[in-house]
Amino acid sequence: MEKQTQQPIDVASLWFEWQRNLWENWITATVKGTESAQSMWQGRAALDMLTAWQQTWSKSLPAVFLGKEPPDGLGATVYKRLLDASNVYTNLLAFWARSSMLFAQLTPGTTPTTEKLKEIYDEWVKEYETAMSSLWGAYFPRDAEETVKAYQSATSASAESAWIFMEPLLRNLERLPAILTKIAKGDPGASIELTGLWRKNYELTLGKALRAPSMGSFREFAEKVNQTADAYVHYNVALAQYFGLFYQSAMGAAEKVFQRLSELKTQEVTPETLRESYRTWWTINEDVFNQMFRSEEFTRLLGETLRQGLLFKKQLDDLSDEITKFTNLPTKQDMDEIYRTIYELRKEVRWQRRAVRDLERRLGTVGAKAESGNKVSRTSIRRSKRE
Amino acid sequence: MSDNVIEVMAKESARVQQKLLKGLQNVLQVKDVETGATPKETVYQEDKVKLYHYRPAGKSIVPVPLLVVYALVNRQYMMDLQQDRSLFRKLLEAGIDLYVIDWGYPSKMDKYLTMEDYILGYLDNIVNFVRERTGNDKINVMGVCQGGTFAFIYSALLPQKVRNLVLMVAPIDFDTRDGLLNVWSKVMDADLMVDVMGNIPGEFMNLGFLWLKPFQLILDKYVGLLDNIDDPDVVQNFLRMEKWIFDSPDQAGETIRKFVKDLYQENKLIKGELILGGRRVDPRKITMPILNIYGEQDHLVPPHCSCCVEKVVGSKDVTTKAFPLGHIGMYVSSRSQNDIAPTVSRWLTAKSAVAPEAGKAIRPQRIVSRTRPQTAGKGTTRGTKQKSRRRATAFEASPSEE
Repeated sequence: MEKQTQQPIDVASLWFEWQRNLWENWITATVKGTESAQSMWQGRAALDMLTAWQQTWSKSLPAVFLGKEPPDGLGATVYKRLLDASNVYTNLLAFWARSSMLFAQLTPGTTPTTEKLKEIYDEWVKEYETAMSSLWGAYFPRDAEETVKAYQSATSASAESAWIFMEPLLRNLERLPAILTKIAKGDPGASIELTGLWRKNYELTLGKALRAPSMGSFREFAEKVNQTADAYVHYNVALAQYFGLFYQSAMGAAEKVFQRLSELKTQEVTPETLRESYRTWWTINEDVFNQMFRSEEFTRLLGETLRQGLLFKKQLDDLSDEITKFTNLPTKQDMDEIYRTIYELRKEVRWQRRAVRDLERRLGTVGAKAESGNKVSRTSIRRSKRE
Repeated sequence: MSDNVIEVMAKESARVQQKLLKGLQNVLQVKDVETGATPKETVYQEDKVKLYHYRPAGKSIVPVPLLVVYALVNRQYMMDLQQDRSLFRKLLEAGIDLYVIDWGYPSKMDKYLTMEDYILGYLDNIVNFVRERTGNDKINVMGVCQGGTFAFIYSALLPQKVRNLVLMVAPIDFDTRDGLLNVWSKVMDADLMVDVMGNIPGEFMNLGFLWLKPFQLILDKYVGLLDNIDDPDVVQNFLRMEKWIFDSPDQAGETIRKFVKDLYQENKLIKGELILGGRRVDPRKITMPILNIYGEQDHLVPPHCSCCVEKVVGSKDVTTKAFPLGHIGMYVSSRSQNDIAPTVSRWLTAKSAVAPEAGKAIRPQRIVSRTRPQTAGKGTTRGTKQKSRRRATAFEASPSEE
């Protein structure tokens, strides 16, 4: 059992007091300022400030308390998730506050024009997209955003991302990533540079012994590189389509949220209604996304994205093995052979042990029977002697 | 209106910040939390697999020991999360002599481990060990979640070693669209996944579980924690659960290949078409009494996956109990402690009291304590009484048996 460690921080309470005072002053000042400003847009500006403040505060919080070397362990991990969630939460609150201001343009008891409704809805959708982006930024894979961008950009941009991604695997050949990036960008001279690097490595390792014809091997290596880039592009395409579906669903949920919140437009804004709007938002989204996850389109895209991702990884592994061959490190294939051998040996030992125990047991039973048989024989002999 | 909105918004933001500050002390500084609350001893080990023995707390001991087979996904300490939320503890208090398998964390070296290795290798060795150690020809087996599928398969292949079978949220019929895992697994190229990844990383599995309810599990759960962050007990409970949720061992490649292809995709188990170790797994060979329990709101193993047991097994003695709980709630909720644990212990007590064939009462079992774990293949240090028992009965399966 692991021990629980918990150390109190005295500075937290001081910080807390200071923050509370700061907030109270800030709120008073803001409210007083907005009292004189009846325009909605001035209110929005105050909200923007508030949101920005919140974001800055939550970003600076770890820096103040965690220092350069943030604590590790379960608590630190969970606290990070807590910070992310609270950021999304406050962004959503700000969004809802902005929504309230938009809905306030609809005078109760009057029918707004279609144009006015459309204007409000378009504005609201913009706000919604901004709020949702904070959610995606916090919880979707960081490179997903890059991936969508890469998909929208030229192929060379995708390839460039690919090489950045591959860099850790190619670290043993320092210059290689840079050269590969150049190739991906279509620099004809880079291929020659790569050939030179490959040849240098080759000469230092296998080449000395084998003196294999160089051009043929270059072609194979270049082909592997090209195949890896190609697989990455395909992966990007699948990933972008996959996340495209998320975007569609989010917008579908937005319409439902809009309808629900516009029903609440006449209610007074209180902390409870703010929180209620948050609950409305996430439960509607959960339902919409659950429907999406069950759809055939999603399962097809999920399968395809996973397949393309795996094919890309396979190409990357092959390329990595190709490069590793020039070093004295074992390749993935080498390691797989070792794992297989160990597995088979362990299995063999397991069955042999069973066989030995089974044999021991049988021998024990036979021995016991023989012993019992001897007793019977001795008794019979004694009986016959008495008779 | 705008000034009111801003004021309310600012106050709510301030509340969140205050809570986050409180979290610096209650959450951030916690290095780790205690899990696995009940004392136990390791009595057997083979490769990375361990067997724990928990000493019963009740005065009257159920004569047949219970072996708990947990899933390969996540860890068995979910059933013993903390003192006041421990299914194990409740079973022990009812006099159950409890053995629990810890499958460990497979590394890359274990990527070739198959379902056959797990079920007919490790599990069978452990069953034999417990039978031998306690002097029972047959023992009680409780399979939980994926471990329930394993226990089901084992009971079909080696029914002569299982006295009573308890299935808890065990997927047996995989052909449903009720659960997202069932839907998603249909489109996954399991061969490509295993060929490329080897073992399937725990993080990958976790991502799938989180996306079953993304907004609740990734966002609202933490927003909810903010409300209770002042309460150290709530925070500790939350952290324990967080630890468990993200404590996901990698899945041995060959095992998950077969599990996804043969079960999730082709549903071979219920059809009687599953082959393991060259033998067909026939559910009709499961003839021992069965207690089958599942959660009506389980989103991981939907009721459809579990409720079919009665129709496919050969046993005429099947008790099915559904509880209005989700998957996790089945282990840790108050209902789990107050309803499920007593249901299991009462059923086991009743079914273990009567001799399987003759209908005679069995003498209560004396628990033999061991201080050092036995390693597979090494000789035991049992007492004389047990040795003589061992000789009298051919316990262990020979290799040919598989």
